[in-house]
Amino acid sequence: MGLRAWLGLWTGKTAFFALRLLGRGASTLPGRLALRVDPALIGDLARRLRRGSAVVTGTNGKTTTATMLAAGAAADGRRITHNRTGANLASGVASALIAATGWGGAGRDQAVAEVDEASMPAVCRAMRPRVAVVTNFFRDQLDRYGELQTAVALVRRGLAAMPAGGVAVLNADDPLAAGLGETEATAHLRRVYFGVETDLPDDPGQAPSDAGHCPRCGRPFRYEARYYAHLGRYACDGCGLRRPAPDVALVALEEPWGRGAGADGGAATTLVATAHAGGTVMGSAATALRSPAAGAMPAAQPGPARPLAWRLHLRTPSGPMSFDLAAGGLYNVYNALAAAAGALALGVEPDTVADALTAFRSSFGRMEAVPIDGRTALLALVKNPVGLSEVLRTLARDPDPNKGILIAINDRYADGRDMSWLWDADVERLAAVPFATVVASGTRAEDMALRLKYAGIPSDRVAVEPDLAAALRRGVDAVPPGSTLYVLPTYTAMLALRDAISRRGLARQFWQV
Amino acid sequence: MKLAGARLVIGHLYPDLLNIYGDRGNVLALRRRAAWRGVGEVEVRTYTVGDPLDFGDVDLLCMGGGEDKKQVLAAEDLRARGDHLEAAVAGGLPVVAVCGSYQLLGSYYQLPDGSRLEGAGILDAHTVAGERRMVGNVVVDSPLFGSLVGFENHAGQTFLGAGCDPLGHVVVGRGNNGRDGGEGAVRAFCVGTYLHGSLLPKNPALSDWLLLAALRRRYGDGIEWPALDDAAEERAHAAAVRRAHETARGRA
Repeated sequence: MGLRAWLGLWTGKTAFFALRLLGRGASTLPGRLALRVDPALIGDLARRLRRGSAVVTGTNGKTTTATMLAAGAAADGRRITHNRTGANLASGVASALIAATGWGGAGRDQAVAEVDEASMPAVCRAMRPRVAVVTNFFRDQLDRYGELQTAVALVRRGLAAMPAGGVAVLNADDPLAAGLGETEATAHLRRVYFGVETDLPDDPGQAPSDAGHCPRCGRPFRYEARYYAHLGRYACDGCGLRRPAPDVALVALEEPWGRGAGADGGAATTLVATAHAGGTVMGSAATALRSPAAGAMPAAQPGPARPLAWRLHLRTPSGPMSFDLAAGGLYNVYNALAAAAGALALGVEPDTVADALTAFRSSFGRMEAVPIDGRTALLALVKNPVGLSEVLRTLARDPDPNKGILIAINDRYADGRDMSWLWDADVERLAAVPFATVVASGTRAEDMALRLKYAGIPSDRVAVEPDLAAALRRGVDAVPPGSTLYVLPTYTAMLALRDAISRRGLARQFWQV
Repeated sequence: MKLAGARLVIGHLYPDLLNIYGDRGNVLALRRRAAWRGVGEVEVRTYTVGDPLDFGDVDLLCMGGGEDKKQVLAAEDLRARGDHLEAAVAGGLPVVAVCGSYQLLGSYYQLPDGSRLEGAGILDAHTVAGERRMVGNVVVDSPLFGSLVGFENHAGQTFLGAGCDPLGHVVVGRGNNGRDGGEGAVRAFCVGTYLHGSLLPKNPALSDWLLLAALRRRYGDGIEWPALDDAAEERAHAAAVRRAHETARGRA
């Protein structure tokens, strides 16, 4: 490393030290300052990683997928650095590298970086990652990025900057992500596809399709199966473009909750977890999940069910893999698939990957369970129509009529200023869901309340409380002990809500996660 | 005329191609408000490239915005229907076209290289591709509808001819071209605008004007038109106006 790099590293480390003394989070500032001293610092530090790096990008699921992937690599005994708070611009990646590099330049074994689509070209040019995982492309914050094609092009430029022999891990079920494997940009890479090869429970609902048309000839795709949004098994009758056969494939998905215990004759594992004060509910669910042998039924406990977990069965080039996943939502099934494919590409053994994914716990507002006053607050970040639709689809599977729903919509820059996306989400699904209360909050609480009205939920059933802390209080009070309050915040609303919760000592500050 | 016996057909054009800015919200607003008023039958029909479409079969047309490539596909199709659409609009067919489809209703769209993509020629307006996108909250003062609120995100700069009026004047935001203070265009009951957000739920006066025009065209005057409780709409409108002023001043 040259002098500049050392100065950059020490600047960053000093900033970390100072921020820690002040008790402040340090997920981007050290990196930003250090990059000002040495703009090439990411490359300098990445070269000190003994086993190179992996990046995760795409519209939805970056944070969860990267966390799972990092856990898989760590389970193999590697010392990992990872921008785990979701600071996914160059400054966040640099901060994670600086934190993991000693004052004397000693680096860790491997870096796993979640990277924003717009930062992909620069980060990949600097980091030269061995593996890049592309989760999906959904419409997201068009006021910042313009068209969806812009995001795809940025990721393509990032992949083109990877070293020869690297691996592009692509979602076969998303025509936009899979299409990257057909371009010149990935010709020097090994391409690994992941996808779903089994039927999924419940209907995919209404969500506008972002990639319903063949990128090659413009014809509408024919879907043999659609899982959610435009993800599915698609084919073009015009030019013959087909979904690539997935190398890492979900071949069976067991649905461990949502039906009454025993109602399905034991074909699927049924899990009913009880919320209890003090311990995290995720912990108790996971204990119940890890124990049963195939086909056995964990003891159903009294109390409301929650969308907690899945059991996945995968076919991979390294052999079959099965594991339990303590994270609800079909999108988390995709995140686990992406992470499994990424971890295998990094050379981790299938058993090790399966153990790491079984031990995985949602965090940082991605279906994160926080006990509050005997209730469970389940925080699920929502930031675009597909994400909101899928979170609503997940909570719709909770039959508890006493559950509460808090939707907190901010329109600050980091959230996206444009509220149009609320109208593209499948909020209509809520009209058929029993609940005790729904609270609309945030700087655009009134927009959300109006969206609920047009979704067919009477206005007298919707409480409007723009203040986030007051809305949380209101939601918790409206839900009886033992039930769940689903909290659906946009990004800045989530930061504020977590802050309100941590001031009550209920969740860790995000930089401690 | 009692609404219980009435029927309303909303035609949603190119939902597969032009749909990126919550355009479904506009169709939803029209559908719901017609049903809440007691219109006996409300039907939404979707049409895309190549579908047979007789404008006499629909009472109201909705169109949205799309990405460039998809917009070109829609443009060719809409141009081919230009004469029929012209007759329908001249005959009072209500149309609401947002963003991309607003541009397509004009006479042409001039690309950065100077070449022109012909429009349907329904509105006396043309659009010139601009360098910088105009993105942000918009508040418009409209002579027909009072305050209108929405969000704009466009690079094209639209200029109106003498054959149509602006929908209103920009209070916050950029509007048609960022220069003359105008936003949108109105000819008879055809409205083109850059406002999404979605447009119609937060601007019930505009929704109702379109609905009433559609019903009058089919059933004549004397339609019973009960008022709705628009408290939620008014609150959302007021909040959007407040946020527009705050974000325009650079406040988060």
